[in-house]
Amino acid sequence: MNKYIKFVLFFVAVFCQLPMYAQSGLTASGIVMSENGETQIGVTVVVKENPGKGTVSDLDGHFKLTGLQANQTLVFSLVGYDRIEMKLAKSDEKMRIVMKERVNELEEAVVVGHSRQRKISVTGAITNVDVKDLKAPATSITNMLGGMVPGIIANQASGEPGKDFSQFWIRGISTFGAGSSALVLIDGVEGNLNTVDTEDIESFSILKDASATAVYGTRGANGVVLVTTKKGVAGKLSVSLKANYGVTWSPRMPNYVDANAYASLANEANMSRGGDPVYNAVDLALFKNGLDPDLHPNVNWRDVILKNASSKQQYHLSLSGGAQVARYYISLGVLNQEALFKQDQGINKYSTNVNYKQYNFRANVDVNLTKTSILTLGLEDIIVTQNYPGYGNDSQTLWDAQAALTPVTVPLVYTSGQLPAYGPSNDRISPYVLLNYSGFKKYYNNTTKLNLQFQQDLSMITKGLNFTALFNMNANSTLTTTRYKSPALYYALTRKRDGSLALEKKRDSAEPYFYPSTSVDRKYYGEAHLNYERVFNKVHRVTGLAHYYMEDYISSTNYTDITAIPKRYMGFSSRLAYAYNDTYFVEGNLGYTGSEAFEKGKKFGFFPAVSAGWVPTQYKFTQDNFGFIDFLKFKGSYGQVGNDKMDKRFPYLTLMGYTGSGVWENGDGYSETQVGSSNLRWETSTKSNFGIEAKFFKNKVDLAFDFFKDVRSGIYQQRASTPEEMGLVTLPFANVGKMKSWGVDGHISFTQTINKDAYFVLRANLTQSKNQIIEFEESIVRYPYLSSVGYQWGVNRGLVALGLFKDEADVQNSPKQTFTNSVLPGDIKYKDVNGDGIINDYDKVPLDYSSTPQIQYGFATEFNYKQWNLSVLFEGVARAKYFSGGTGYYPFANREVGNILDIVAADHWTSREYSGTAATENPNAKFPRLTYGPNNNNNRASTYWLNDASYLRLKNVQLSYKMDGAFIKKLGIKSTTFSVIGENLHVWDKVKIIDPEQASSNGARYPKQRVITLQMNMQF
Amino acid sequence: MKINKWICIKWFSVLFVSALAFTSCESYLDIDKYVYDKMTIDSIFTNRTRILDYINGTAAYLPNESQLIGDYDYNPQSPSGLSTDEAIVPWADSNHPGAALYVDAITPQNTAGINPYANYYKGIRKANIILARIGGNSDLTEADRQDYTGRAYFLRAYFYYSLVKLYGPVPLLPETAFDTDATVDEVSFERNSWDECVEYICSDMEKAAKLLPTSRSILYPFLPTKGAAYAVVARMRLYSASPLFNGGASTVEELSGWKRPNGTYFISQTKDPARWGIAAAAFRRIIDMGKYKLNTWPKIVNSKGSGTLPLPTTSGDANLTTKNFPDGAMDIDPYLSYKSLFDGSLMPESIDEFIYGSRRSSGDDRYYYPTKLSGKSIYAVTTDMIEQYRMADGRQYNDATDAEKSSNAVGSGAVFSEDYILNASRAVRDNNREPRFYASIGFNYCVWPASSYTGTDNSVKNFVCTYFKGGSSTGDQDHTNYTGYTSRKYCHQEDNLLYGMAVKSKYYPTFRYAEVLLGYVEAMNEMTSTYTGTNINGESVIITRDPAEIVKYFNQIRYRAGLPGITVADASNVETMRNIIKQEWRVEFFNENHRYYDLRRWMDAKSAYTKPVMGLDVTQKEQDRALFYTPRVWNTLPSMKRTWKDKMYFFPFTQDTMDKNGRLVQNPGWK
Repeated sequence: MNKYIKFVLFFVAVFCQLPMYAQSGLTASGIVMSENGETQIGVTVVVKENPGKGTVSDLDGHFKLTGLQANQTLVFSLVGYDRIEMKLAKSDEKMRIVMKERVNELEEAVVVGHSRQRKISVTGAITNVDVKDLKAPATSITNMLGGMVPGIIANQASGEPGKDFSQFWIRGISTFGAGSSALVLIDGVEGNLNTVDTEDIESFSILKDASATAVYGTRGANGVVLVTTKKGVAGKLSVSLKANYGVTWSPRMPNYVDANAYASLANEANMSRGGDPVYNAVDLALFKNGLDPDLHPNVNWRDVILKNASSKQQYHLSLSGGAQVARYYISLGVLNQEALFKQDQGINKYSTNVNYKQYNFRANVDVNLTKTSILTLGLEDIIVTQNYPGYGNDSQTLWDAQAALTPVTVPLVYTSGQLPAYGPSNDRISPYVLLNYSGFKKYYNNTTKLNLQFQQDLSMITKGLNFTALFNMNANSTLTTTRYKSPALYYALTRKRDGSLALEKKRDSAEPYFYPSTSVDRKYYGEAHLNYERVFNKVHRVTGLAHYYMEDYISSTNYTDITAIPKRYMGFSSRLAYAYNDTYFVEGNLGYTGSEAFEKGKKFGFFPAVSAGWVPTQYKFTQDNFGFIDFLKFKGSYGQVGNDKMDKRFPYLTLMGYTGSGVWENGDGYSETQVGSSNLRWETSTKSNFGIEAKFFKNKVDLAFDFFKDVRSGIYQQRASTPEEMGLVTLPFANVGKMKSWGVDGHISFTQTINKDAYFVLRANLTQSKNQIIEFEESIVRYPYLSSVGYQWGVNRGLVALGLFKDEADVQNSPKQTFTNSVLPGDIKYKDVNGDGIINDYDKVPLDYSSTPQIQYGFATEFNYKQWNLSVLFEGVARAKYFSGGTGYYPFANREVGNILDIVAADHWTSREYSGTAATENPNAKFPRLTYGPNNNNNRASTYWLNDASYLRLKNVQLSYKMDGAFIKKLGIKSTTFSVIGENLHVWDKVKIIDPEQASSNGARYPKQRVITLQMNMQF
Repeated sequence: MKINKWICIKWFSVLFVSALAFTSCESYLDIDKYVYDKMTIDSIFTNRTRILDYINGTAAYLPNESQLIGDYDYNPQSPSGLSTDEAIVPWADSNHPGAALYVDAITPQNTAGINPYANYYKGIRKANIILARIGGNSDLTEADRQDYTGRAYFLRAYFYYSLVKLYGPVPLLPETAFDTDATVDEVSFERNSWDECVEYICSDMEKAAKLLPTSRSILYPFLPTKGAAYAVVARMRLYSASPLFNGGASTVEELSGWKRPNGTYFISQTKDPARWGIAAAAFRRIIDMGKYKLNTWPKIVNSKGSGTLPLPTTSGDANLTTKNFPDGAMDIDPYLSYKSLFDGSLMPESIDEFIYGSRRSSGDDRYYYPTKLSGKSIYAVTTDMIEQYRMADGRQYNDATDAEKSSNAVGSGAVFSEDYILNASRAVRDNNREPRFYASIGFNYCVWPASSYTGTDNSVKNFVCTYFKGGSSTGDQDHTNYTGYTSRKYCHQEDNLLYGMAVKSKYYPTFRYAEVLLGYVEAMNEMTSTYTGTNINGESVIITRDPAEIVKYFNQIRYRAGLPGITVADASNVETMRNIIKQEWRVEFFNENHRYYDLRRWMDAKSAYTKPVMGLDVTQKEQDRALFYTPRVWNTLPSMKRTWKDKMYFFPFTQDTMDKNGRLVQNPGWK
């Protein structure tokens, strides 16, 4: 109490002094505090120009100096803190000096599970990402991880606003079970990385090995991402503003042939297999001259629905400051992302473009309740709104429609004003109608998070002990309002005798139809932990952690009585670490966590991990003899973590449902609707890690590498291949799968200072992760290569193509291909792998790699000259392959539905009978002999369609200029940075027609965007 | 400072205590409160009704044996008479799996929809669960517990019985349901031998018989009884004694030397005549129960002349016309006695012949009925089968004179048994046949009364069905009856398939007393030594081959059918008697799904299947009557190209079944 009164009195005193004028010289007085608001006692304040003059801050952190002259400099110093120099222009009697703790390299802290650790003492595999590097104007921080963060394999499959996030895996995919994605914790609580504003992030850590994740028990097996958000720092109000404006466009989209080319290819396709021309000479002429836009249209549907470019804006404002009692960090973020669709203005009054808007609000307030206890209140609110056309849940419907609708099928609008429909069941609607005439859908999402944390220093009990309790509530609600309608749709096959169109109504109009759908979910999370850290006799450092948490989650989207049961977790974990003289480190981690998913008595499990580290550079001997090595650390860890993600809730329960009694006619019967699994546990991951960290040549070279192995056993699989004699009414899950993954991740950087104005940095990182299935529930395999065991998870499987059949003799002399009745020259010829004389599905073999890359790497350079900074980031993946297929790659497979890629026109096998020349029988053609209709021989997974998905991308180039001179200071601005940022500027790859990250789709996807952004950052 | 410290400790304590308040760990994660009211396997076995319902749920896996043909809507779970020499249809595809079998179109990759294997084992698992848990605490009375345990044994045995009938020997599993996380290896079992399977089934059925009641409430006539358990045992014993399973396999190339991995034979390769005695005793036991007798209908005498068809007087068996049933047929209407077993006139609880069975599915009906009555009329009974029906006086059809086999019209109509109408245009060859012919067969000019019809179309009632080219019930190539005969066994005179009209609910006897008599007679006929054992009452039973005994029991079937009996002389010759018995099986159980199994166990299948398919010449028009009635070979459609391969002794496992159990060996000959 006393303290507060003092505090208030102090301000009153300062306030009262304000009107007084300085007479003989200037006065400087105020308070000195630390970053978290604690007043600092005994800070020396001296006048630089007059070293004899000075004072020391008192018990409450106050100081006062009088009789100073203008432009004299005050120097504040305290052991263990950075010196602060303040130039005095005029009297200032309410100075607030914040002393920053001096961080020497040994004391640098990183965020680890449930606490912080000094970097040097980390023996687990933890990547601490420099948040500065993640601040490109990407929609989601996940898009910045690939190629940037060692240990991450990432893929961005869509460019659609609101869906342009990356999927990522820590150290690749290490399970074929239900969940292979990492646990993401934001301020200690599970959250969504995609909606975090990168500007709000204080630190970002990736926990990769067992030692780092054991404390997360059953949820840590796939690695953990730890994000902490910014907190207020004591001191004057600090304002920072970011604004950017970007232009985005699609650098790559597949091109489809026009009407003329389409029609002649269709004719070739049908005639080359003995059919009649699909279009006659008159049709062809009309397609060419375009004189009949109704029955012989030539529409480029992609151009009809797409703009050339769209825009993206992002704003972020943050306020931070505070003093002894309280500190705050408040931020507001706005993201407004336009989408590429081109609405036909004047048709309706609403937007069907899939524009994405996100508003973030965050307030983190720390209050010192007492000198030793801090209460933190964190509040976050995220509001998302997005529009869609009335039909479909995203823009995929539009992409599919533009890929399906050929240029010749229907016009945009019949000249008589009717809108078209087509297809055998008249359910095919043009993307133009879908975009403009199907009503609209609006999606609203609101997430509110409340974080309440209490920290208590318990050094009065024993030195180095502190306690933290955290409570979090996360409420999320979604409202989707659909206003669907449909106009009457027509189709005309011919003209009437009078020349008018013979329009036939294919679909009646649907009156506007409104359908709201809502969903809510909420999560409670509570945790408490005790941290202990103390150094005995200067060399024995003991660290301890005891942690307890519980979580409860319900969601309205779970609408069966079983799935609606709250999802709950509970866990205890602890860590004990010992370090001797910062040279030898040992650490033990233990998680004891439980999940409601398992049967009684089997809910909890122990997850132990041990690790050790050795820093030889701490020896004097090393320092003397190997001076070029500044730092060297070897570390290793071994332990177990769990993964309790399952496709099904409570598979251990045997549930009953009604049947009849069958032929007995004896009334009701009960039968198992779910056969309970016995002895179900979580997947267990046994991880081992060995790592090296080193710095050489006065810290110019910095590297860290980790070698890892993860053996995942007890992977859940539904017992689809058990003998039928087992008599299971439903197939239960069991821990029967096993898989191992292994690899390396690491980074190396080189920093060179050229002169006092210039330096440059070169950085590179690499993640490699391979895996192999060891045990897999599968039917008895007829040939060893049909088994999953021994191969990479998700390995591409298909036939081995031997090229195209040369001629009829080649067909006759080859094994029979059973997928179609007959094959012709120019069709794909397959290898008879098992030598049984026929080609069938038993000849499918595992081919190279899967569509998830085994290797992801990145290299970057940063060049700094005075206020100028240029950074360039390349990112790439290797060892990934995919099958081309679907509409586009299988021309005319659905006859009149499906566009034809222009590469088909340019590069396909044409028989000499059709073209009149043998030269068109190109044995290396990209596409085999055309077929009008399905072709089960050619259109199936084989090496013919297997392509390389590896790429190297110029992911990010950023040029910025920082102004912090006197001029802007006069405007009250501390600094301003102007940047031009280019993203996804170039790709070197083999896919060519679409982005390699989207290679396994057939191009009918919202493309990954190229973005040029202008950005301004201001600090006040 | 001091105060601060205390404040801190206070705060800390408050928070610590409140944190502890949440710490009742297991209970926090316990979901019992949510699933407490839900049915779980544990809650089932505490409550009588739930146990009963669980047993019922197990019974739901029993095959519906009354589905004989199959269609796009459903599949039968076993081949049937359509897979034998009884009948043909125009198609042989997955909608008509029987036909697919006899034209060798079945493969392990495509079993034409017949694949009950997994379902039967599901039933076995559930039966094992019942047996393991029913002894626990519950509110069952002792009587209930006995009955329910009996049902569980019956179920387990019946599933195995259904398996071995179709597939031959199968894996016999441990009696504890497998843990769901058992490794594939732990649950992969090899097939046992045929004899082990039979012993297992019989042992379970014996246990069931001890526990099951002798009769059931009329509300639940299809629940198994003691007699039902005995009947399954008896049928199994008869099959096991029959040539295929009693040494005959050694003469079939595919089956001889068919060995298990341990070197023993799947099917015994040596003959053991004593098995016939065991079989005879198994049937005898049912006879001795005294509960069952053949169904009879009292003789109808009326002034309208539409009473019971007069019994033949020239048969040479005076008992037939002078003695009451079972020593003769003087007091019964043979046609109705037999017909009412199948046509829904009587309910099973009122039929003494009914041992076990189910309600009959009506899905097959459309194959029999004329197109006019909304049928398809395509189920075509071969003339081979037609010729098995004797003349009314007991002579074989083949022994009849040419005049009696004439295609001429009889010329005058008649009515018997109140509502059976004989049309004047019927051929002489279809006249004067035994009553079971009229009860079972639809022929050219047969009258389908369809008397429940309430509409205005006069031609619907008493519809005269003809199969001539352009006849009243012929369709295109795919919708025509190709032999001129169909089955009317399950058709009631009132039935009318037209939309909104009535079709009588019927039951399907899986086991009826006629089988017990015929089985007893067959087994006794084959006996070469005396069988000694004990009967249900613990009294000793001695059975020897006794011609008088054979005559006594065999003639009950004959008399019920209004046919003259056999003589001791007939019964004295094993060979003669065997042929008589086989023919009687064929006629008495026509279209009751015995033929498929009988042909195999007797090893008569090869000769039966390789005979050409014979039928009337339905390509002829009505004016070419004589040509129409001249039987011809039918081989014009793929579905008529009946063939035999020795692999057909047993149905194949599907490839999927094989791929999941590495120890399972496929039946011989199937690839």
